[in-house]
Amino acid sequence: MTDPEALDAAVDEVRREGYKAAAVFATADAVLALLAVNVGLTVVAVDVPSISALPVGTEALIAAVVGLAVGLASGVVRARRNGVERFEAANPELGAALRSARDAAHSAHDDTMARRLYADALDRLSEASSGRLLDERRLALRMVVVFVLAVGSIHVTVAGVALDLADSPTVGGSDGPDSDQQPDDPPPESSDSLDSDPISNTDGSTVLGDPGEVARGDEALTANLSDRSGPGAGDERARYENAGHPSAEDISPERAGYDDPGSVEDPELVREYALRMSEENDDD
Amino acid sequence: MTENLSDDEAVQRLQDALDAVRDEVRKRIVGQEAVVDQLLACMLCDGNALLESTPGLGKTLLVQTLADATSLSFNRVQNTPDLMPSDVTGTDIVRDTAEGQEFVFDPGPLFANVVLADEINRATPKTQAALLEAMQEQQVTVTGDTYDLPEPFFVLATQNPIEQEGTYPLPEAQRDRFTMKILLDYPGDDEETEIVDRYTRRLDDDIPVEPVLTPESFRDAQRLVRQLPIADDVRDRAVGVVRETRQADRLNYGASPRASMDLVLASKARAFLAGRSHVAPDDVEAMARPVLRHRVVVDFRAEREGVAPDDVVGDLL
Repeated sequence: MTDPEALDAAVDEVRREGYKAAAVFATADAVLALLAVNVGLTVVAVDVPSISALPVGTEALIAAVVGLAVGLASGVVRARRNGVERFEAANPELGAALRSARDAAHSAHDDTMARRLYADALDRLSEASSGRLLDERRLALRMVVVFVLAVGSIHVTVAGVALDLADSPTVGGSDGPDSDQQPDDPPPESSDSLDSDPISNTDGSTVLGDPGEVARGDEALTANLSDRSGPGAGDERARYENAGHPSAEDISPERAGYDDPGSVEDPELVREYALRMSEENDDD
Repeated sequence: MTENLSDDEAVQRLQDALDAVRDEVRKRIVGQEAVVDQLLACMLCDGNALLESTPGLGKTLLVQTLADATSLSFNRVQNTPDLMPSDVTGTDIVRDTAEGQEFVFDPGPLFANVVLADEINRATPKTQAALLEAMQEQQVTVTGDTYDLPEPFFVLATQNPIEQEGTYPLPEAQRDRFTMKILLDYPGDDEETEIVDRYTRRLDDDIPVEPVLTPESFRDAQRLVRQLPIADDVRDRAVGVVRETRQADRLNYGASPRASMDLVLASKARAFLAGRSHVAPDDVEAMARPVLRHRVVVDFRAEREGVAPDDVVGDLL
């Protein structure tokens, strides 16, 4: 391999390093976007139509698609930007030499000084680090944001934080009134309904008033107790010996019935009715 | 591969030798490092330099020392208004030989590798033209016969910026033929003390200098400088700076395309002197002022405000 060919191979290697660095950032961007969209959809409580054919929720699907799109876009942009020029900028001690060597190789220079430059550039390339293509501060910042969003995502899911766009946010635990809210259910009661309740948001002292002395009554009633029975049913003496469970003789055995399906006029109608009843019960 | 290694070693040897030249010059010249580097770079470009300073700063000593360290022959021409072109180029004289009398060419002081044209602005335009023509063509023509000047050939001309009475300032077209205009400034405190100590403690002030480079090696170095690769963007920047002098607000005249060539070449020479195999943007910036300052003409308004060509070039950079 001649010096210009070796240099071209080295430049290709630099380009590949640039692609790797772009992939790292693209992955971070994709995760960041996925988590941000997921948290956003959960908090904002957007009414998203469900797709029953998918094993995952619609919100998760949207977040995944957005994350993928952001990752792809970031990867493409960075792969274009993370060319050899960026590598040169990241390694300023190498930049001018590598640029000169690339231009010389492109012009097919093969004299003494050009060969010396190729060797020099290859030598410097072996000492240069492609790690500088990774902007550590920006990558660290992304990691922090990803961590925060991940924690936030778990929190809003567990705590059920939801921001109603029309009203103030409501917060409730898993045993709260909205914990088992379904997407198809009517929206929860607004805070106005809570305010209309005189008890829920009112000071107890206001309702009860100030404590004070209660006036003593002046009507005297005499209660008479007698063992005589009154008229009517009360004349019968109550017997409790056999008043508990009915005796075995009082119960006649009955066999469980079975209806032939053929006798039902419209089984489909009955089945749908039963399902609706079941749904209503669940909703309640 | 062996050939490459030997080439590499040859380049390294030349660069080491140029370092040694600078060390030899330091034996006689105190300070003026930038001036020495610019002068060496100019010689590596196979160019000619205009040295400007007040008297007594060691211009002549500097040029002579450079010639001594590089084993180059040295001649000095003291320019005066009555100096004739033939005094510089040489002339045919009648000489008695065994066969009788014949005309033979008696070479003038131009026939040396390094010619110091002291106070060139004191020579008449005719003599200046003869000198500058020889500088450009690297040959002289006397009574119809053309004689090649020795290789390498450098003219290092000096000017005194103070005394302008009775001088013939070089026209712009002739100034353009100098690769660089190098300014010598006064030495600093410590440097001046060192100069006094070095040259007042002995009766014989001729400090010996070892020749560390042969003329052939110097030619090899010049060839290698031209081979030195330059990145396209660095070259474009050098050309761009020169082109911008033609549209600059405070300049009457900008620099010529010859300036673009000289700036790129001077940048290469500086990189070679620094032991590098490529030209850095810093090389262009460092060489822009010496290469351009004598090729641009500041307009009247800027001149009245005390703006120097270096200021304008600096702004363009």
